[in-house]
Amino acid sequence: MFVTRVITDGGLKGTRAGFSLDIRVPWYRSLPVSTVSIAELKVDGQAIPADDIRFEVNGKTWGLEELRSHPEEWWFVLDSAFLHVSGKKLEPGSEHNVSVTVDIKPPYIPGFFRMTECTKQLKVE
Amino acid sequence: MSNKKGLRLGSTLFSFTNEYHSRQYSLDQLLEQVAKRNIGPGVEIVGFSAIRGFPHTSDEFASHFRNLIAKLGLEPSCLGINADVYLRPDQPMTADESLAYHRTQIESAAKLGFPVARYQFLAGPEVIRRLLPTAERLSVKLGLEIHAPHKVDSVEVMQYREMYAKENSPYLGFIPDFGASATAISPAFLRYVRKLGLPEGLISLVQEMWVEPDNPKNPHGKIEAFTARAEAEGFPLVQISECFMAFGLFSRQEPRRWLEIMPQIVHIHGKFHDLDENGEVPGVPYDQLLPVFVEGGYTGFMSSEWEGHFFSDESGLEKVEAHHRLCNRILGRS
Repeated sequence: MFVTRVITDGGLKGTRAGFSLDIRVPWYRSLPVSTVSIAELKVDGQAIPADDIRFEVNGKTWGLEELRSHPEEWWFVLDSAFLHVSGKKLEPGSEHNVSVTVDIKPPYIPGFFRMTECTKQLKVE
Repeated sequence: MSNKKGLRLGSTLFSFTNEYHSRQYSLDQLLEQVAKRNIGPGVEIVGFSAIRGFPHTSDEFASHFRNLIAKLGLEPSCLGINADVYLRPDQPMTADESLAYHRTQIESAAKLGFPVARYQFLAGPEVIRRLLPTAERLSVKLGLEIHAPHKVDSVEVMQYREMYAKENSPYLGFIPDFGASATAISPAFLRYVRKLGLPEGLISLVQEMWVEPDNPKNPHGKIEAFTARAEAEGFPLVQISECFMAFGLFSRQEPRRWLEIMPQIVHIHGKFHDLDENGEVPGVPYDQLLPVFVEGGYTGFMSSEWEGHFFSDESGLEKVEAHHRLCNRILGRS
């Protein structure tokens, strides 16, 4: 089930600006990032403002609102993407309840959308 | 078994989404598993799942794939291609862009050695008609997947049947998906929505509306009608949308209706979500379906297609092994 794999085990890392989270596309095939949105990211029950999150795939990074403008950029089904969060420091070794909701619109099913919410207890690497 | 005449078995790697998406097995390792577990010889892949850079396929990848398939004694059966008309969700491709996008995928199919490409109804009959010269030149048959909620006489399918009749080419065909011939909603779906904690009242409404008569002029109408009724009864949209799959994965076409298009069938998706303790597929009458294809003289491949990975973390490889046992038994090959 995609719902168990959206957040990668061991995927929470402390960074200089805050933290990053390793996530996977909740679908059986690659999707262009224009069909993907991050509906919500919560740490210990607290929502992270969308403006504090950047999305990285294929070594390129965008603000969440910019994803829709990139139909040429593919998120390959086996690759990780990373959510980079600024302004919220997490101590290395501390444990947190992390929840992310990834919304996809498969480009061959007009009007269809699928929201997948994944929650995991993770230790900061 | 593979050398017997008649319907031939195989696997689509889509069945192994749990193994693949979790990075337990790579594409090459899955192909090795298909050979080792004798769940070929037919091999179907989804281009956008298996191949980095799809719709394009590099020469290097194509040569590696063809060599591995040959070494393992497998046969390419069908390449799943997609009608990604909404790469921009708010601005669909033009017909010319869609044609070019489909053409690239047919070129990939030919490079990889696939005799058939599964396409989707969103392509539209006009794009497929314009794609036909490419398909004929490259010897790749174009198969429209007839997937729930569609049936052989749904309005969108009839538009293709009319175009096919005019073009009269052996490179235009159909691919039945057996989810379209269900007799019940799969118990795997019901277990899943109960595990998610969806209210019983909503689940009963799904079951009640699922058995109501379908309207071939509006195959998607039930989802709209269900949404309206569920919203009127006060259920939240996030719960209602989880139930759409019941109408989009399972529909109720009588098995013998496939005979209407039998000469045009170029591949089959042997869809299933679950197997019971007797090794039968609850809700899909394989014991009635397979004899219809034997009677109709079908000699192509059927990919075993386990889609239960939407609902569980179980092993698709084991499910497909059990599905092959079931199909071999029904076909009298066990």
